[in-house]
Amino acid sequence: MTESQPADDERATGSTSWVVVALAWIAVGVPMLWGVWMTLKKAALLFR
Amino acid sequence: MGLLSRERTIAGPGFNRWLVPPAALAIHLSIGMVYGLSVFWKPLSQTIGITQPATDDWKISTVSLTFSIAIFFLGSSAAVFGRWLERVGPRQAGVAAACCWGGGFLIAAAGARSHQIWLIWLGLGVIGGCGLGLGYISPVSTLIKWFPDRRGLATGMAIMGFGGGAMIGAPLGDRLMRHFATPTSVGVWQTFVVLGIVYFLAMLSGAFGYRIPRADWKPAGWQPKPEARSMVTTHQVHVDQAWKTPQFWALWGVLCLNVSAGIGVLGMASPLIQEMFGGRLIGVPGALAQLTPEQRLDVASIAAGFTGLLSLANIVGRLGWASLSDSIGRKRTYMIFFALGAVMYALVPTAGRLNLLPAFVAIFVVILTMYGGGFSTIPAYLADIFGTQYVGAIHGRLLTAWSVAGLLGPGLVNYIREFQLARGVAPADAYNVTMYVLAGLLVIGFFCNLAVRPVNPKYYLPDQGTPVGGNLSAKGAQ
Repeated sequence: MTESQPADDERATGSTSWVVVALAWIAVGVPMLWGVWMTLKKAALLFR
Repeated sequence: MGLLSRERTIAGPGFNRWLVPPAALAIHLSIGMVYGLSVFWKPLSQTIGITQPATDDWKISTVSLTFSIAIFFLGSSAAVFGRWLERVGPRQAGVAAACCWGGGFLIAAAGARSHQIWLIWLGLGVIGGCGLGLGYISPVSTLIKWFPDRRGLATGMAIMGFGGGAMIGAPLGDRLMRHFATPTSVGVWQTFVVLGIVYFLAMLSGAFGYRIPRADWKPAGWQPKPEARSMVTTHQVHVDQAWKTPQFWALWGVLCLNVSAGIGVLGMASPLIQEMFGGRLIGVPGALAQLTPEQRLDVASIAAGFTGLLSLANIVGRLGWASLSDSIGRKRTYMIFFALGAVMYALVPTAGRLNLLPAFVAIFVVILTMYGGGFSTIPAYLADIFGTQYVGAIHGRLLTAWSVAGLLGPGLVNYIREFQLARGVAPADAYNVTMYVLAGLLVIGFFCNLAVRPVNPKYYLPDQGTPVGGNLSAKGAQ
Protein backbone atom coordinates (compact mmCIF):
# COMPACT_ATOMS: atom_id res chain seq x y z
CA MET A 1 0.00 0.00 0.00
CA THR A 2 1.39 3.36 -0.97
CA GLU A 3 0.04 6.82 -0.62
CA SER A 4 -0.11 7.31 -4.36
CA GLN A 5 -2.85 4.75 -4.91
CA PRO A 6 -6.06 6.17 -6.34
CA ALA A 7 -8.81 7.19 -4.01
CA ASP A 8 -11.95 5.18 -3.64
CA ASP A 9 -14.23 7.54 -1.85
CA GLU A 10 -17.32 5.38 -1.61
CA ARG A 11 -15.57 2.31 -0.33
CA ALA A 12 -13.40 4.36 1.98
CA THR A 13 -16.29 4.84 4.35
CA GLY A 14 -18.31 1.72 3.72
CA SER A 15 -16.39 -1.55 3.96
CA THR A 16 -15.26 -1.79 7.58
CA SER A 17 -17.91 -3.64 9.50
CA TRP A 18 -20.02 -1.34 11.65
CA VAL A 19 -19.84 -4.04 14.32
CA VAL A 20 -16.12 -3.37 14.62
CA VAL A 21 -16.76 0.36 14.80
CA ALA A 22 -19.44 -0.16 17.46
CA LEU A 23 -17.13 -2.38 19.52
CA ALA A 24 -14.37 0.22 19.38
CA TRP A 25 -16.75 2.92 20.59
CA ILE A 26 -18.10 0.66 23.34
CA ALA A 27 -14.55 -0.04 24.52
CA VAL A 28 -13.94 3.67 25.17
CA GLY A 29 -17.55 4.66 25.82
CA VAL A 30 -18.24 2.33 28.75
CA PRO A 31 -15.38 3.58 30.97
CA MET A 32 -16.24 7.15 30.01
CA LEU A 33 -19.90 6.70 30.97
CA TRP A 34 -18.81 5.14 34.26
CA GLY A 35 -16.67 8.21 34.91
CA VAL A 36 -19.54 10.55 34.02
CA TRP A 37 -21.85 8.61 36.35
CA MET A 38 -19.38 8.83 39.24
CA THR A 39 -18.97 12.56 38.66
CA LEU A 40 -22.73 13.14 38.43
CA LYS A 41 -23.20 11.35 41.75
CA LYS A 42 -20.69 13.74 43.31
CA ALA A 43 -22.24 16.76 41.60
CA ALA A 44 -25.71 15.78 42.84
CA LEU A 45 -24.71 17.01 46.31
CA LEU A 46 -24.85 20.53 44.93
CA PHE A 47 -28.58 20.22 44.27
CA ARG A 48 -29.77 18.25 47.28
CA MET B 1 9.10 -1.77 6.83
CA GLY B 2 8.63 -1.66 10.60
CA LEU B 3 5.38 -2.34 12.33
CA LEU B 4 5.35 1.21 13.67
CA SER B 5 6.35 2.95 10.46
CA ARG B 6 4.18 5.60 8.96
CA GLU B 7 3.71 3.59 5.76
CA ARG B 8 2.20 0.68 7.72
CA THR B 9 -0.49 2.98 9.12
CA ILE B 10 -1.88 4.14 5.79
CA ALA B 11 -5.48 2.98 5.57
CA GLY B 12 -6.54 0.57 2.92
CA PRO B 13 -9.65 0.95 0.80
CA GLY B 14 -12.80 0.47 2.81
CA PHE B 15 -11.37 1.67 6.09
CA ASN B 16 -14.03 3.39 8.15
CA ARG B 17 -12.77 6.73 9.45
CA TRP B 18 -15.02 6.45 12.53
CA LEU B 19 -12.54 3.91 13.91
CA VAL B 20 -9.93 6.63 14.41
CA PRO B 21 -11.71 8.73 17.10
CA PRO B 22 -12.03 5.79 19.55
CA ALA B 23 -8.32 5.05 19.03
CA ALA B 24 -7.56 8.67 19.86
CA LEU B 25 -9.92 8.55 22.84
CA ALA B 26 -8.12 5.48 24.23
CA ILE B 27 -4.96 7.57 24.39
CA HIS B 28 -6.52 10.81 25.60
CA LEU B 29 -8.63 9.12 28.29
CA SER B 30 -5.42 7.52 29.59
CA ILE B 31 -3.25 10.63 29.67
CA GLY B 32 -6.16 12.71 31.01
CA MET B 33 -5.49 10.99 34.34
CA VAL B 34 -2.89 13.69 34.93
CA TYR B 35 -5.78 15.86 36.23
CA GLY B 36 -6.73 13.09 38.65
CA LEU B 37 -3.28 12.59 40.17
CA SER B 38 -4.35 14.68 43.16
CA VAL B 39 -6.07 11.59 44.64
CA PHE B 40 -2.56 10.26 45.36
CA TRP B 41 -1.11 13.32 47.10
CA LYS B 42 -2.62 12.72 50.54
CA PRO B 43 -1.81 8.97 50.67
CA LEU B 44 1.70 9.71 49.37
CA SER B 45 2.14 12.18 52.22
CA GLN B 46 1.45 9.29 54.66
CA THR B 47 3.50 6.42 53.21
CA ILE B 48 5.49 6.11 56.45
CA GLY B 49 2.92 7.21 59.01
CA ILE B 50 0.13 5.29 57.16
CA THR B 51 -2.80 6.78 59.11
CA GLN B 52 -1.30 10.25 59.53
CA PRO B 53 1.81 12.04 58.27
CA ALA B 54 5.02 11.04 60.08
CA THR B 55 8.06 13.27 60.54
CA ASP B 56 9.88 11.74 57.56
CA ASP B 57 6.84 11.75 55.32
CA TRP B 58 6.70 14.03 52.29
CA LYS B 59 4.66 17.20 52.43
CA ILE B 60 1.68 17.45 50.10
CA SER B 61 3.34 20.45 48.42
CA THR B 62 6.36 18.23 47.68
CA VAL B 63 4.42 15.42 46.02
CA SER B 64 1.98 17.71 44.23
CA LEU B 65 4.94 19.35 42.49
CA THR B 66 4.79 16.25 40.27
CA PHE B 67 1.72 17.71 38.54
CA SER B 68 3.46 20.98 37.68
CA ILE B 69 6.49 19.10 36.34
CA ALA B 70 4.23 16.90 34.22
CA ILE B 71 2.35 19.87 32.72
CA PHE B 72 5.63 21.66 32.01
CA PHE B 73 6.98 18.61 30.17
CA LEU B 74 3.66 18.18 28.38
CA GLY B 75 4.01 21.59 26.72
CA SER B 76 7.74 21.24 26.15
CA SER B 77 7.64 17.78 24.62
CA ALA B 78 4.69 18.68 22.40
CA ALA B 79 6.69 21.63 21.08
CA VAL B 80 9.95 19.69 20.67
CA PHE B 81 8.60 16.40 19.30
CA GLY B 82 5.77 17.76 17.13
CA ARG B 83 7.88 17.76 13.99
CA TRP B 84 9.19 14.27 14.72
CA LEU B 85 5.60 13.12 15.05
CA GLU B 86 4.73 14.49 11.61
CA ARG B 87 7.71 12.58 10.19
CA VAL B 88 7.26 9.18 11.84
CA GLY B 89 3.47 9.15 12.01
CA PRO B 90 0.96 8.87 14.84
CA ARG B 91 1.46 5.18 15.64
CA GLN B 92 5.10 5.51 16.61
CA ALA B 93 4.31 8.62 18.64
CA GLY B 94 1.39 6.84 20.30
CA VAL B 95 3.58 3.86 21.25
CA ALA B 96 6.25 6.20 22.61
CA ALA B 97 3.55 8.00 24.61
CA ALA B 98 2.31 4.65 25.99
CA CYS B 99 5.84 3.68 27.05
CA CYS B 100 6.40 7.05 28.72
CA TRP B 101 3.05 7.31 30.53
CA GLY B 102 2.77 3.63 31.50
CA GLY B 103 6.48 3.42 32.29
CA GLY B 104 6.27 6.66 34.24
CA PHE B 105 3.72 5.07 36.57
CA LEU B 106 6.02 2.08 37.10
CA ILE B 107 8.98 4.32 37.94
CA ALA B 108 6.76 6.30 40.30
CA ALA B 109 5.70 3.00 41.89
CA ALA B 110 9.34 2.24 42.60
CA GLY B 111 9.66 5.74 44.08
CA ALA B 112 6.62 5.30 46.31
CA ARG B 113 7.81 1.87 47.48
CA SER B 114 11.38 2.97 48.22
CA HIS B 115 10.31 6.44 49.42
CA GLN B 116 12.41 8.28 46.83
CA ILE B 117 10.59 11.43 45.77
CA TRP B 118 12.93 12.05 42.84
CA LEU B 119 11.74 8.81 41.25
CA ILE B 120 8.16 10.05 41.42
CA TRP B 121 9.14 13.39 39.90
CA LEU B 122 11.15 11.62 37.21
CA GLY B 123 8.52 8.96 36.50
CA LEU B 124 5.21 10.79 36.50
CA GLY B 125 6.66 14.29 36.07
CA VAL B 126 9.44 14.18 33.48
CA ILE B 127 8.95 10.90 31.61
CA GLY B 128 5.20 10.81 32.15
CA GLY B 129 4.98 14.46 31.11
CA CYS B 130 6.72 13.66 27.81
CA GLY B 131 4.16 10.88 27.35
CA LEU B 132 1.40 13.43 27.90
CA GLY B 133 2.77 15.77 25.25
CA LEU B 134 3.30 13.02 22.68
CA GLY B 135 -0.04 11.42 23.43
CA TYR B 136 -1.91 14.72 23.33
CA ILE B 137 -0.76 15.74 19.87
CA SER B 138 -0.48 12.25 18.36
CA PRO B 139 -4.04 11.99 16.97
CA VAL B 140 -4.69 15.65 16.14
CA SER B 141 -3.17 15.80 12.69
CA THR B 142 -4.55 12.37 11.76
CA LEU B 143 -8.09 13.23 12.82
CA ILE B 144 -8.06 16.51 10.94
CA LYS B 145 -6.96 14.68 7.80
CA TRP B 146 -9.73 12.08 8.19
CA PHE B 147 -12.40 14.70 8.90
CA PRO B 148 -11.66 17.70 6.67
CA ASP B 149 -15.41 18.27 6.57
CA ARG B 150 -15.77 18.19 10.39
CA ARG B 151 -12.41 19.16 11.83
CA GLY B 152 -13.85 20.61 15.02
CA LEU B 153 -15.96 17.56 15.78
CA ALA B 154 -13.00 15.26 15.15
CA THR B 155 -10.53 17.04 17.41
CA GLY B 156 -13.29 17.69 19.93
CA MET B 157 -13.93 13.97 20.28
CA ALA B 158 -10.28 13.24 21.08
CA ILE B 159 -9.56 16.22 23.28
CA MET B 160 -12.79 15.57 25.18
CA GLY B 161 -11.02 12.42 26.37
CA PHE B 162 -8.22 14.40 27.94
CA GLY B 163 -10.78 16.31 29.99
CA GLY B 164 -12.54 13.08 30.93
CA GLY B 165 -9.54 10.95 31.88
CA ALA B 166 -9.59 12.03 35.52
CA MET B 167 -13.28 11.12 35.82
CA ILE B 168 -12.30 7.50 35.25
CA GLY B 169 -8.80 7.45 36.71
CA ALA B 170 -9.45 9.29 39.98
CA PRO B 171 -12.25 7.01 41.31
CA LEU B 172 -10.43 3.98 39.90
CA GLY B 173 -7.22 4.99 41.67
CA ASP B 174 -9.16 5.58 44.87
CA ARG B 175 -10.74 2.12 44.73
CA LEU B 176 -7.42 0.43 43.94
CA MET B 177 -5.72 2.15 46.88
CA ARG B 178 -8.50 0.96 49.20
CA HIS B 179 -8.08 -2.54 47.78
CA PHE B 180 -4.30 -2.63 48.26
CA ALA B 181 -4.17 -0.76 51.57
CA THR B 182 -2.88 -2.79 54.53
CA PRO B 183 -1.88 -1.80 58.08
CA THR B 184 1.67 -1.30 56.74
CA SER B 185 0.96 0.23 53.32
CA VAL B 186 -1.25 2.98 51.93
CA GLY B 187 -1.51 0.98 48.69
CA VAL B 188 -0.16 3.67 46.38
CA TRP B 189 2.74 1.83 44.75
CA GLN B 190 0.60 -1.19 43.95
CA THR B 191 -2.03 1.13 42.45
CA PHE B 192 0.66 2.81 40.34
CA VAL B 193 1.74 -0.59 39.00
CA VAL B 194 -1.81 -1.56 38.03
CA LEU B 195 -2.56 1.83 36.46
CA GLY B 196 0.77 1.82 34.60
CA ILE B 197 -0.05 -1.52 33.01
CA VAL B 198 -3.67 -0.60 32.27
CA TYR B 199 -2.73 2.72 30.68
CA PHE B 200 0.12 1.16 28.71
CA LEU B 201 -2.20 -1.44 27.19
CA ALA B 202 -5.01 1.04 26.54
CA MET B 203 -2.66 3.49 24.83
CA LEU B 204 -0.97 0.74 22.87
CA SER B 205 -4.33 -0.42 21.52
CA GLY B 206 -5.11 3.19 20.61
CA ALA B 207 -1.78 3.64 18.85
CA PHE B 208 -2.30 0.47 16.81
CA GLY B 209 -5.80 1.67 15.96
CA TYR B 210 -4.42 4.79 14.26
CA ARG B 211 -4.67 4.89 10.49
CA ILE B 212 -3.79 7.78 8.23
CA PRO B 213 -5.63 8.45 4.99
CA ARG B 214 -3.97 8.19 1.63
CA ALA B 215 -2.77 11.46 0.18
CA ASP B 216 -5.63 11.69 -2.29
CA TRP B 217 -8.38 10.61 0.06
CA LYS B 218 -11.35 12.79 0.87
CA PRO B 219 -14.83 12.08 2.22
CA ALA B 220 -17.37 10.96 -0.35
CA GLY B 221 -19.05 13.92 -2.00
CA TRP B 222 -17.08 16.52 -0.09
CA GLN B 223 -15.34 19.42 -1.82
CA PRO B 224 -13.22 22.05 -0.07
CA LYS B 225 -14.74 25.51 -0.16
CA PRO B 226 -13.22 28.04 -2.55
CA GLU B 227 -10.44 29.86 -0.74
CA ALA B 228 -11.20 33.41 -1.86
CA ARG B 229 -11.81 35.50 1.27
CA SER B 230 -12.14 32.32 3.28
CA MET B 231 -10.51 31.67 6.66
CA VAL B 232 -9.89 28.07 5.57
CA THR B 233 -6.83 27.66 3.39
CA THR B 234 -6.14 24.85 0.97
CA HIS B 235 -2.43 25.71 1.06
CA GLN B 236 0.20 24.41 3.46
CA VAL B 237 2.55 26.32 5.74
CA HIS B 238 5.66 24.55 7.04
CA VAL B 239 5.98 24.35 10.82
CA ASP B 240 9.26 26.25 10.70
CA GLN B 241 7.53 29.09 8.82
CA ALA B 242 4.30 29.02 10.80
CA TRP B 243 5.78 30.34 14.01
CA LYS B 244 7.25 33.30 12.13
CA THR B 245 3.78 34.50 11.12
CA PRO B 246 1.74 36.99 13.16
CA GLN B 247 -1.16 34.55 12.94
CA PHE B 248 0.71 31.99 15.03
CA TRP B 249 1.35 34.48 17.81
CA ALA B 250 -2.19 35.85 17.67
CA LEU B 251 -3.46 32.28 18.10
CA TRP B 252 -0.86 31.69 20.82
CA GLY B 253 -2.35 34.66 22.66
CA VAL B 254 -5.87 33.39 22.01
CA LEU B 255 -5.09 30.01 23.59
CA CYS B 256 -3.01 31.43 26.42
CA LEU B 257 -5.60 34.02 27.49
CA ASN B 258 -8.57 31.69 27.18
CA VAL B 259 -6.79 28.98 29.18
CA SER B 260 -5.38 31.40 31.78
CA ALA B 261 -8.83 32.62 32.71
CA GLY B 262 -10.37 29.13 32.85
CA ILE B 263 -7.53 27.33 34.59
CA GLY B 264 -7.37 30.08 37.19
CA VAL B 265 -10.91 29.46 38.39
CA LEU B 266 -10.85 25.70 37.83
CA GLY B 267 -8.03 25.30 40.33
CA MET B 268 -9.77 27.54 42.86
CA ALA B 269 -13.36 26.39 42.27
CA SER B 270 -13.76 24.63 45.60
CA PRO B 271 -12.47 27.39 47.93
CA LEU B 272 -14.11 30.01 45.72
CA ILE B 273 -17.68 28.76 46.17
CA GLN B 274 -17.07 28.00 49.85
CA GLU B 275 -15.73 31.45 50.65
CA MET B 276 -18.23 33.37 48.50
CA PHE B 277 -21.33 31.59 49.82
CA GLY B 278 -20.17 30.16 53.15
CA GLY B 279 -23.05 28.83 55.25
CA ARG B 280 -25.60 29.83 52.64
CA LEU B 281 -24.65 26.64 50.77
CA ILE B 282 -26.29 24.60 53.55
CA GLY B 283 -28.98 27.09 54.47
CA VAL B 284 -27.14 28.48 57.50
CA PRO B 285 -26.31 32.17 57.89
CA GLY B 286 -22.70 33.21 58.35
CA ALA B 287 -19.34 33.12 56.62
CA LEU B 288 -17.22 29.99 56.30
CA ALA B 289 -15.06 30.90 59.30
CA GLN B 290 -18.15 31.09 61.53
CA LEU B 291 -19.32 27.53 60.79
CA THR B 292 -18.83 24.47 62.99
CA PRO B 293 -16.40 21.74 61.78
CA GLU B 294 -19.37 19.53 60.81
CA GLN B 295 -20.98 22.33 58.84
CA ARG B 296 -17.69 23.00 57.11
CA LEU B 297 -17.51 19.35 56.05
CA ASP B 298 -20.99 19.65 54.53
CA VAL B 299 -19.96 22.82 52.72
CA ALA B 300 -16.79 21.07 51.44
CA SER B 301 -18.89 18.18 50.09
CA ILE B 302 -21.08 20.60 48.17
CA ALA B 303 -17.98 22.36 46.86
CA ALA B 304 -16.65 18.98 45.66
CA GLY B 305 -19.93 18.53 43.79
CA PHE B 306 -19.45 21.96 42.23
CA THR B 307 -15.95 20.96 41.09
CA GLY B 308 -17.33 17.74 39.61
CA LEU B 309 -19.97 19.67 37.72
CA LEU B 310 -17.31 21.99 36.31
CA SER B 311 -15.33 18.94 35.09
CA LEU B 312 -18.38 17.77 33.21
CA ALA B 313 -18.92 21.23 31.75
CA ASN B 314 -15.29 21.22 30.62
CA ILE B 315 -15.81 17.92 28.79
CA VAL B 316 -19.15 18.85 27.23
CA GLY B 317 -17.62 22.10 26.02
CA ARG B 318 -14.73 20.29 24.37
CA LEU B 319 -17.09 18.36 22.13
CA GLY B 320 -19.93 20.87 21.86
CA TRP B 321 -18.06 24.07 21.01
CA ALA B 322 -15.59 22.36 18.67
CA SER B 323 -18.49 20.78 16.77
CA LEU B 324 -20.34 24.08 16.63
CA SER B 325 -17.22 25.73 15.22
CA ASP B 326 -17.61 23.54 12.12
CA SER B 327 -20.84 25.42 11.41
CA ILE B 328 -20.15 28.96 12.57
CA GLY B 329 -16.38 29.11 11.97
CA ARG B 330 -13.45 29.10 14.38
CA LYS B 331 -13.00 32.86 14.55
CA ARG B 332 -16.62 33.43 15.46
CA THR B 333 -16.47 30.66 18.05
CA TYR B 334 -13.56 32.34 19.84
CA MET B 335 -15.35 35.70 19.55
CA ILE B 336 -18.16 34.12 21.56
CA PHE B 337 -15.70 32.66 24.08
CA PHE B 338 -14.08 36.01 24.73
CA ALA B 339 -17.14 38.28 24.58
CA LEU B 340 -19.51 36.01 26.50
CA GLY B 341 -16.72 34.92 28.85
CA ALA B 342 -15.83 38.51 29.78
CA VAL B 343 -19.48 39.27 30.57
CA MET B 344 -19.80 36.06 32.60
CA TYR B 345 -16.71 36.73 34.71
CA ALA B 346 -17.88 40.29 35.35
CA LEU B 347 -21.26 38.95 36.58
CA VAL B 348 -19.75 36.56 39.16
CA PRO B 349 -19.36 39.15 41.98
CA THR B 350 -22.95 40.29 41.47
CA ALA B 351 -24.27 36.71 41.62
CA GLY B 352 -22.34 36.17 44.85
CA ARG B 353 -23.47 39.44 46.41
CA LEU B 354 -27.14 38.77 45.60
CA ASN B 355 -26.84 35.19 46.89
CA LEU B 356 -27.93 33.78 43.53
CA LEU B 357 -26.39 30.30 43.79
CA PRO B 358 -28.11 28.81 40.69
CA ALA B 359 -26.97 31.79 38.61
CA PHE B 360 -23.46 31.52 40.08
CA VAL B 361 -23.27 27.82 39.19
CA ALA B 362 -24.73 28.42 35.72
CA ILE B 363 -22.17 31.16 35.03
CA PHE B 364 -19.26 28.88 35.92
CA VAL B 365 -20.70 25.99 33.94
CA VAL B 366 -20.82 28.20 30.82
CA ILE B 367 -17.31 29.53 31.54
CA LEU B 368 -15.91 26.01 31.85
CA THR B 369 -17.56 24.85 28.64
CA MET B 370 -15.73 27.67 26.88
CA TYR B 371 -12.47 26.78 28.62
CA GLY B 372 -12.74 23.22 27.29
CA GLY B 373 -13.95 24.45 23.91
CA GLY B 374 -10.84 26.61 23.62
CA PHE B 375 -8.60 23.56 23.83
CA SER B 376 -10.53 21.44 21.36
CA THR B 377 -11.21 24.12 18.74
CA ILE B 378 -7.64 25.37 18.44
CA PRO B 379 -6.29 22.42 16.35
CA ALA B 380 -9.03 22.96 13.78
CA TYR B 381 -8.33 26.71 13.82
CA LEU B 382 -4.65 25.98 13.11
CA ALA B 383 -5.55 23.61 10.29
CA ASP B 384 -7.81 26.28 8.78
CA ILE B 385 -5.07 28.90 8.89
CA PHE B 386 -1.89 26.87 8.20
CA GLY B 387 -3.21 23.83 6.32
CA THR B 388 -3.37 20.23 7.48
CA GLN B 389 0.10 18.99 6.56
CA TYR B 390 2.04 20.20 9.60
CA VAL B 391 -0.85 20.92 11.93
CA GLY B 392 0.33 18.36 14.50
CA ALA B 393 3.73 19.99 14.82
CA ILE B 394 2.31 23.52 14.78
CA HIS B 395 -0.21 22.52 17.45
CA GLY B 396 2.64 21.10 19.50
CA ARG B 397 4.47 24.41 19.43
CA LEU B 398 1.31 26.33 20.24
CA LEU B 399 0.84 24.25 23.38
CA THR B 400 3.65 26.25 25.00
CA ALA B 401 0.82 28.78 25.51
CA TRP B 402 -0.78 26.21 27.80
CA SER B 403 2.40 25.94 29.87
CA VAL B 404 2.48 29.72 30.30
CA ALA B 405 -1.23 29.84 31.09
CA GLY B 406 -0.75 27.15 33.70
CA LEU B 407 1.46 29.56 35.60
CA LEU B 408 -0.31 32.81 34.71
CA GLY B 409 -3.91 31.88 35.53
CA PRO B 410 -3.54 30.27 38.97
CA GLY B 411 -0.78 32.75 39.83
CA LEU B 412 -3.06 35.72 39.11
CA VAL B 413 -5.99 34.26 41.02
CA ASN B 414 -3.90 33.35 44.05
CA TYR B 415 -1.88 36.57 44.10
CA ILE B 416 -4.88 38.88 43.80
CA ARG B 417 -6.79 36.92 46.45
CA GLU B 418 -3.87 37.10 48.90
CA PHE B 419 -3.41 40.79 48.15
CA GLN B 420 -7.10 41.48 48.80
CA LEU B 421 -7.08 39.51 52.06
CA ALA B 422 -3.95 41.36 53.20
CA ARG B 423 -5.80 44.63 52.61
CA GLY B 424 -8.54 43.49 54.97
CA VAL B 425 -11.14 42.56 52.35
CA ALA B 426 -13.60 39.90 53.58
CA PRO B 427 -12.91 36.39 52.17
CA ALA B 428 -16.34 36.40 50.51
CA ASP B 429 -15.34 39.49 48.49
CA ALA B 430 -11.69 38.57 47.91
CA TYR B 431 -12.39 37.15 44.44
CA ASN B 432 -14.29 40.14 43.04
CA VAL B 433 -11.27 41.98 41.66
CA THR B 434 -9.89 38.68 40.35
CA MET B 435 -13.02 38.16 38.28
CA TYR B 436 -12.73 41.61 36.73
CA VAL B 437 -9.04 40.97 35.94
CA LEU B 438 -9.90 37.65 34.29
CA ALA B 439 -12.63 39.41 32.31
CA GLY B 440 -9.94 41.89 31.22
CA LEU B 441 -7.73 39.03 30.01
CA LEU B 442 -10.59 37.82 27.86
CA VAL B 443 -11.05 41.30 26.36
CA ILE B 444 -7.37 41.21 25.31
CA GLY B 445 -7.96 37.72 23.91
CA PHE B 446 -10.90 39.09 21.90
CA PHE B 447 -8.57 41.49 20.12
CA CYS B 448 -5.93 38.78 19.56
CA ASN B 449 -8.60 36.72 17.86
CA LEU B 450 -9.77 39.74 15.88
CA ALA B 451 -6.22 40.05 14.52
CA VAL B 452 -6.25 36.55 13.00
CA ARG B 453 -6.33 36.82 9.21
CA PRO B 454 -5.38 34.43 6.42
CA VAL B 455 -1.62 33.86 6.17
CA ASN B 456 0.41 35.91 3.72
CA PRO B 457 0.90 33.69 0.62
CA LYS B 458 4.67 34.16 0.85
CA TYR B 459 4.63 31.60 3.70
CA TYR B 460 2.86 28.92 1.65
CA LEU B 461 4.80 25.85 0.60
CA PRO B 462 5.11 25.42 -3.17
CA ASP B 463 2.08 23.50 -4.40
CA GLN B 464 2.95 19.79 -4.16
CA GLY B 465 -0.48 18.66 -5.23
CA THR B 466 -1.25 17.63 -1.68
CA PRO B 467 -5.01 17.50 -1.20
CA VAL B 468 -6.86 18.63 1.89
CA GLY B 469 -7.13 15.23 3.44
CA GLY B 470 -3.62 14.23 2.53
CA ASN B 471 -0.31 13.69 4.23
CA LEU B 472 3.24 13.33 3.12
CA SER B 473 5.49 10.40 3.61
CA ALA B 474 8.59 10.71 5.73
CA LYS B 475 10.51 11.62 2.62
CA GLY B 476 7.93 14.10 1.41
CA ALA B 477 7.74 15.72 4.80
CA GLN B 478 11.44 16.50 4.64
